[in-house]
Amino acid sequence: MAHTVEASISNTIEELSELTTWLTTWLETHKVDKSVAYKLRFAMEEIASNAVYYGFPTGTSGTVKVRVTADAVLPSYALEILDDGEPFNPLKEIPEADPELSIDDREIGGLGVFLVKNMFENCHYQRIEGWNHLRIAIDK
Amino acid sequence: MPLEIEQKVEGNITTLVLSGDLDTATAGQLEITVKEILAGKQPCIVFDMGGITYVSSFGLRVIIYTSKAMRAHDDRFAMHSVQEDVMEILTQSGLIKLLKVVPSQEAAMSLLVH
Repeated sequence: MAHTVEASISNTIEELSELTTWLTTWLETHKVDKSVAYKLRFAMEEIASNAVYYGFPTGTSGTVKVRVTADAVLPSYALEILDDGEPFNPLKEIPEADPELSIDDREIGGLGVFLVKNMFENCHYQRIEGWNHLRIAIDK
Repeated sequence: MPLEIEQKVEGNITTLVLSGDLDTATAGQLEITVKEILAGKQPCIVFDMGGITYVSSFGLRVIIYTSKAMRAHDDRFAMHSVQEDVMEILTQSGLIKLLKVVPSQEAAMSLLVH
């Protein structure tokens, strides 16, 4: 049986770490496989921090929400990251990092999203009623 | 988990024994430490990653930054004892081919001493 938990923060850098604490505590409590837990955390931090750093016009306040849905029997997990900032699809609009590039040619941006796409076969973006909604699913 | 950084100096090799998480909140701490070492004479840096359980893309940024900065110093930068999940991130990002990643402190030392 699936159940969903949700946490939300305002769009400040200081509050980002609250999402990490919340998610890692949940992952530990539910004894999620170590490697799956790593990927979920990596994806959450990447997408949520992109939203906080770049998703809102300067000086505007907004909300970033994270939802985790777990089916412990399968087990499978879905991670949703939502923000009410400017419409933005990170899967499309962030240029992908090229893993073959030499260290000198490496731009820092894009690597995180590239890795998220690599980790999860299932990544979907939608703009729903003023919210950017990114959903990632994983079976384990 | 917070990041702990212990510095060990042997000859002109500075080893940073790292433990905890290298993430959005802590990556800046490591960058500051690296900058301090870079300001010294003939910097040579080893990251002991044995205690690092998590590296986010911010953590990868600092690793890339360090590697780029060490270009000016004969590439004398290596890391060792990388845990499995972290190794997977290094592999997927292609960084594994660009960095000196070795199994142990001894291997790192023998690679860097000349």
